[in-house]
Amino acid sequence: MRTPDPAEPVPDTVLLARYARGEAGAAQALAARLVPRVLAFATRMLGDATEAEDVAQDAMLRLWQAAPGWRSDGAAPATWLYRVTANLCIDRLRKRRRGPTAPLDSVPEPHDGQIGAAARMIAAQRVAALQEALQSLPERQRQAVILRHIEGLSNPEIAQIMALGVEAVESLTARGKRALKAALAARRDELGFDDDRP
Amino acid sequence: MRHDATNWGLTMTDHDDDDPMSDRTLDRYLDAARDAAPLPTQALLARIQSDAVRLAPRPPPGRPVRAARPAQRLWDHIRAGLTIAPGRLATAGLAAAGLTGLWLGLAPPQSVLGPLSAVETALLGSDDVLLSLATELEDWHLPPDGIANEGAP
Repeated sequence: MRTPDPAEPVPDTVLLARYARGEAGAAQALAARLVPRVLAFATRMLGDATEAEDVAQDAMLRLWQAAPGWRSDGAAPATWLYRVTANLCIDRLRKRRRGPTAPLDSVPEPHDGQIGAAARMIAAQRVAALQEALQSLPERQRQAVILRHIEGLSNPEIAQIMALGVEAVESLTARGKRALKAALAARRDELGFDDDRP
Repeated sequence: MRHDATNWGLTMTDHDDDDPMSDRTLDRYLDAARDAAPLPTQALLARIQSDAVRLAPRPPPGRPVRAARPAQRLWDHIRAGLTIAPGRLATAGLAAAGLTGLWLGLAPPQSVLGPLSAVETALLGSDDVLLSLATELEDWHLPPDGIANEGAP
């Protein structure tokens, strides 16, 4: 039997089981690990920082509620949480009934203090333009593109989150990526991008 | 615009002519978004932690769950095994000591009797001394609570 390496991080499922047994510290460790991912995903989906925080809190609340009956043979907590977050975001998006696109100041700016002012301005412009382009995608395409190309999840993981086959995910991300390019290219003059700029 | 890259003598392209933008350019936008991932505020983390504490599963009644030291957990097991309420622990301890003393007095095992007899003889002298002491004690008329009557000689 393999002896656990103390240097290895404790798996999410173990932390969740510890929380279910009443260890408050386990919840803190889980939150530190999962909240940044959930918040980033929700922010990209919604384009609104305040709403994204509400969704992140709601998704984590559902995780705490699910902890006592958690089945270790089911989905990993992170996968389950992404699925819950996606559903909460889609609910909110549908309530908006195709409202206005996200205001630019709700999109986080790059927090690298070392880059110069000009580079920071370009980065912020790219972040805002990409966010607007993401908002123009259909919800499922947006979800697949964010999970694959920003959150860096694998296609099988996304398939589990979206309850789809891997081929369907590949198709969604390919179409989403093409639509993203088309949306950004339509603003070529405004954004002033060229392919040689770093 | 078309971008070519040479790899082991083969010319590769990162997008076709119908693509409105190269993959490389799109990647710069995606990289910028990744670098600008929002960080949770302390206020958000505090709200989430508060939810976690409020919804933390409660241990079943009578079996408190403690993130305790191993010695403390051992004591909990012993106490749970005896099913004695904490407030009555001292009384139960006295009762157990009394019962043990009674058992040793009525039916002392040889392993205990041997050393005890040796100690008694060493402290009190011969068996004759012990016999006279026992006779005197009989004359004291000890009541059931073990306190001598005031009128006793």
